[in-house]
Amino acid sequence: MAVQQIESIEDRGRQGGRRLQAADPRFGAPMMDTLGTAPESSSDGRALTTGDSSAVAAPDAASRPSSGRLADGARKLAASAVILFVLYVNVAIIFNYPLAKFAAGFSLPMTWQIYDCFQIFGVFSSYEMLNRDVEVYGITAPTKSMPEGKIVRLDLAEYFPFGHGESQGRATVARHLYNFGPVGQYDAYQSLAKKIRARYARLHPEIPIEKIVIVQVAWRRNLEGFELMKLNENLSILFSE
Amino acid sequence: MFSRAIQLWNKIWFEPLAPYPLAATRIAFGLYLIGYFLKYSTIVDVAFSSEGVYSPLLIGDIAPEPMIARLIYALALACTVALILGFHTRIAAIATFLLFQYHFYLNFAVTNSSYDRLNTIVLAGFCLTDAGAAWSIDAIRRGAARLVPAWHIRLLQFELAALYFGSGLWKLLNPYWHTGQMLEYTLASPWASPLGFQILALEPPDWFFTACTWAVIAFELLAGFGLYFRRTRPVVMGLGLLFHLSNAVVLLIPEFLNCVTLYPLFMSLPALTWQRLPWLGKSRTIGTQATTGSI
Repeated sequence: MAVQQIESIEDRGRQGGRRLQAADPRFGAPMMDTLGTAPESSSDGRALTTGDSSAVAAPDAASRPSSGRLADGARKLAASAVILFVLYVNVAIIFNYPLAKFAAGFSLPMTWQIYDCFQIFGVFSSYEMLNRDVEVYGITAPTKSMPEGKIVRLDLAEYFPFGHGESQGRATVARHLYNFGPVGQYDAYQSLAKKIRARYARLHPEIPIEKIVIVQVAWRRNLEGFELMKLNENLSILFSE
Repeated sequence: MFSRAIQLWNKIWFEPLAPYPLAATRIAFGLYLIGYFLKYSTIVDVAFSSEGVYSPLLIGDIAPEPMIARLIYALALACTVALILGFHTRIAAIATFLLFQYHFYLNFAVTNSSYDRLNTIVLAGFCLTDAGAAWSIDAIRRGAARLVPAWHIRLLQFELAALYFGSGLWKLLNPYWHTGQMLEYTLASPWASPLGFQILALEPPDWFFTACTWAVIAFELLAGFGLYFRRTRPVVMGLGLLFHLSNAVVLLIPEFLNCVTLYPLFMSLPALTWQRLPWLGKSRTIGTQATTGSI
């Protein structure tokens, strides 16, 4: 039913297109330039008609002065540059990455910034048997009874109010590692810890903390539930102030 | 030879086309973007303000105090609404693009997500194209819709087709995707919804996951081409909608529904005739029936 409806719409569309071409010779004019320079309406300010009850205004390239045509040509050149850029970037990314192993070391020129903007292909490119979760701890100032300070587990939802996957991605600042290496990631962690500490101080002024520790917990992934096998045995410290 | 190549280039990219596919995409993508931003509506302070927790990329710690952050966030929503309505469309598109980029580099980029990249590309496309040529307040004020050069539509068509094909190729050549294990364990991953675990609780056989995995690869490899052909287009659109909805429901990744909002680019859309709009005081018509120029 849905298929029939869409085909019906398309058939009507094609018929409409033919009617428009027949009724308005400018529609079929060769290489009519419409780079945003179409007139805002027909000469009398009303919609152009095509024998139907509706219309599309089309530009009249032939009647433009030569300066207008020059500007149109420049716009067309600029548009062509944009088109070539987008085509090239997509082809280059497909060639350089999914097809890299067939390219015998050859790759098309590409900067990492452009790659980073257009790389939209690698969704779920690997998987693992472990689940991972981030936990954030605060350490209070040392006291006589606790010379190393008290450890307070922070409510993650106050800092990363997202699902497990997104919180994990945000708290590990993997993007900074990917783009700027370990130093960039460390800097991002420092900045993140500073923000967590400041937010904690605003939300819980009664227990001031001095240091932030970001910890990752890993456990064997279980098909029966996300946290089913979660034990705080396999901990690794991602960052500590 | 050279002049024929130029002629062909001009025909492919600069022939005038009906603006409705682009207009429909502008509206659909704008609605998607509203939903995208609304996800943050209750956490603006923590996500975008100087009192929050975020990891900016390339732009430094420039988040303003909460009140200003809320205003900027509200401005992003308002500009997106203006884009949907086609009110000063070009300005709205540029403002939405800049505000999306601001929030992207402040907080979204850290997640390193493909859907954010597609959002950026589509919004950049709206800045460069005549997205308000039809079905917009701009068109009503002009009294007519207007044709758009083909590249306004076909470049975004190509980007979506490339996205599907590249993703399919990536999976086809990735050994992880050659069995059903990838899918099975992804359903038990941090991204999985309770429904994902319920599916696993049914203990489907291995071949089920393997079949689903190869179905995804086949769909992605062929979808980009299938969208260009009239006969296959409804099937691809139906399967694509199902695929992206299942990603939203089973994997809690609704953001990839932005792909679906680009489907109208491939459709020939009928006229939308608004007759006797009382607040305009007279009968006005915009739109016509015309093809997208696709096969």
